[in-house]
Amino acid sequence: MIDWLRRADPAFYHKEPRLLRTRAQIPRYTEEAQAEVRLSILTADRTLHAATTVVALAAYVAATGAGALEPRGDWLTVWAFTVFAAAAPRALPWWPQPDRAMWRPALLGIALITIPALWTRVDATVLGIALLTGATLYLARGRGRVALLVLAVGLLFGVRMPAHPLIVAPLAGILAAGAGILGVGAIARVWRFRPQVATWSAFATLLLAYAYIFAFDAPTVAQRVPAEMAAIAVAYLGVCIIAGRVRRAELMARPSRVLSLPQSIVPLLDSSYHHAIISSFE
Amino acid sequence: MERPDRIELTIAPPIGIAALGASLVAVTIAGAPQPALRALLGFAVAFPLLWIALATTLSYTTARALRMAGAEVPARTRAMTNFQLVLTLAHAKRAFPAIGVLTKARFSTAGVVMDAGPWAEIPMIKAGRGATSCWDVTTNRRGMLLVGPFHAAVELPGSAIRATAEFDRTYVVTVLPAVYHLQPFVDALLAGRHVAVGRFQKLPAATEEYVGAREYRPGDSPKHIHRVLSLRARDPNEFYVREFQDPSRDDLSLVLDTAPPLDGDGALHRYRLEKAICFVSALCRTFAARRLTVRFVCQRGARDITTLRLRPLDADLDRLEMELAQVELRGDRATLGRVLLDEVRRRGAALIFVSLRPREQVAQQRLPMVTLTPDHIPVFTREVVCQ
Repeated sequence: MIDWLRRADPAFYHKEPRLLRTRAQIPRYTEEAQAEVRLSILTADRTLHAATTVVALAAYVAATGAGALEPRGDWLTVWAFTVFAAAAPRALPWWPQPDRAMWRPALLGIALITIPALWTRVDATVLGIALLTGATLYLARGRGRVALLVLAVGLLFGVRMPAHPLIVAPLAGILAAGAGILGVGAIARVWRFRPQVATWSAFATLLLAYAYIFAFDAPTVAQRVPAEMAAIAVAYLGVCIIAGRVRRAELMARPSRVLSLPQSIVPLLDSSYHHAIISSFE
Repeated sequence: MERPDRIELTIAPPIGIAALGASLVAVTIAGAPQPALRALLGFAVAFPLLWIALATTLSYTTARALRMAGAEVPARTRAMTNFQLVLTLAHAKRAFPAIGVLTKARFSTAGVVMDAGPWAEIPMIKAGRGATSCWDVTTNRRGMLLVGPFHAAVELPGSAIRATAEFDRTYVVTVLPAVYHLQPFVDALLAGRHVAVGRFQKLPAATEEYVGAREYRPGDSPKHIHRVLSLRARDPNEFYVREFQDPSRDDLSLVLDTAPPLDGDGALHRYRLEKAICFVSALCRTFAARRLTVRFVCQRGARDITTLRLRPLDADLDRLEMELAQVELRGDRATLGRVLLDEVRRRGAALIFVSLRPREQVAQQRLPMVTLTPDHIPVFTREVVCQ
């Protein structure tokens, strides 16, 4: 009889408890859970963080005309771009939360304003703007950081209103900020389930920044076209790296094991987890 | 090599496309009036467009170039065991490798379809080469399992589409019932009943066949002593007797109840049927180990009675399991009663009835047979209860 049983499946009786136990331990892998796993992978990805920072810095260089935009003359625009470059990467969902090292964006903001001025002249005005930027970035935390970004968008469009009327400028800023909030909200709803939308959004954000400087600072940008082009190329390559890392996270976060729909027929006594098929890949 | 039957295209999120399109329009409108910025504008616009176009083209052409070189799927497996499913894909293009190919297979059994994966990744298929994906599939449900169609998806980062090559090939896997481990005493219990009830005829009849010789035991007829073997034995007091068997007679009849419940508790009844099927399969193996011939009877549907004569041979047990893999709750009480009466009237065989009800009708209780109810089956089987 032992021979007959062996012929059927010698390891069956030893496998059965393991199968039941394994099945009981596997959680259902919903799309929401998969999105959470994907986000945790992205949060732990240092290369992605570095690429995001590089994209932000390269975009800053391109937006300020590779240092041609003077903080002394147009300090509000420089302040807004600096705030974007330093705070926007930290507002992205894959940046580790909570980010306790608040001095880093503050120092980055100070450096972004001060370093280009070293080639011309560092005076009290430049230092004052740099310190103001650093202080704002240091103080803006959590939702305050998002509010700061919205304020920067509003300022960027508000200061461009002709003659700076008292009502029109804030109104334009509010409209621009509102449009930005709506756009970011729409993308944020999609991105958890279609992460590649991040790539498209990054390209779109860069293009909008270029559209802004082409429209309002064309003479400044035209002074250093090769440097601009190099900065844009670096930013685009950074976006390509981000796309690759997001794709990697998609692949890593895919469910390694899938359970079928529940059903009531299982030949053995297990009555808590009824599944017809369990499938996993190697 | 099998070409994909179709290529399914999934477009990137519309919100992403819309955002990029609007940005491209905005930057073009802003930069076009500035002659000094033409080069910069061209570069800023061309780079993302070229990237997306290249990624999209590569995704599509790679999916089209994929070929299904074969799939290793067993023709049969057993419930609660696992098998390896191996899918081999080849890349027909010579120019670029296929990067990040995700493969999946569709699994379907009666009423259950698993179409969501899991996706198995092939990191790279070199140009003109092949690669395999492996799945470890555990089937819990007895019956027919369909494996396929197969899907292979390619989506390079930045691509506007996700191109999925679909291969319609489908494989059928017969999932045989799980085997129960029977307690040792089931063997002694059934053997005792078999000896007491089953054997009516002590002397060989003309229709019986010589099946072998064994040592003489007190009570054996001296007429059956095998003289040649007995003379060859070293001990002068050691004798051998010839054994005969009627090939037209079965040692045991085993009837499986397949009638649906009257009280409407379908789920419980189906569960009992599954347990009964596994038990019957294990019981037949036990009898085969004792070299008994079993007549298995069950009702497959209206006026469709299946009768299998199971000799202790691999082929017969395989036939039984293939039959058990297809059994459903399609019997009826009237036919079952007639089948039991017919089996009782057959002479020379003990009858075992594997019932799905805790208590049988009075008429059936009076029949000379062993009735195993759902309460009996756990007594004879070793099972693991999930905590």
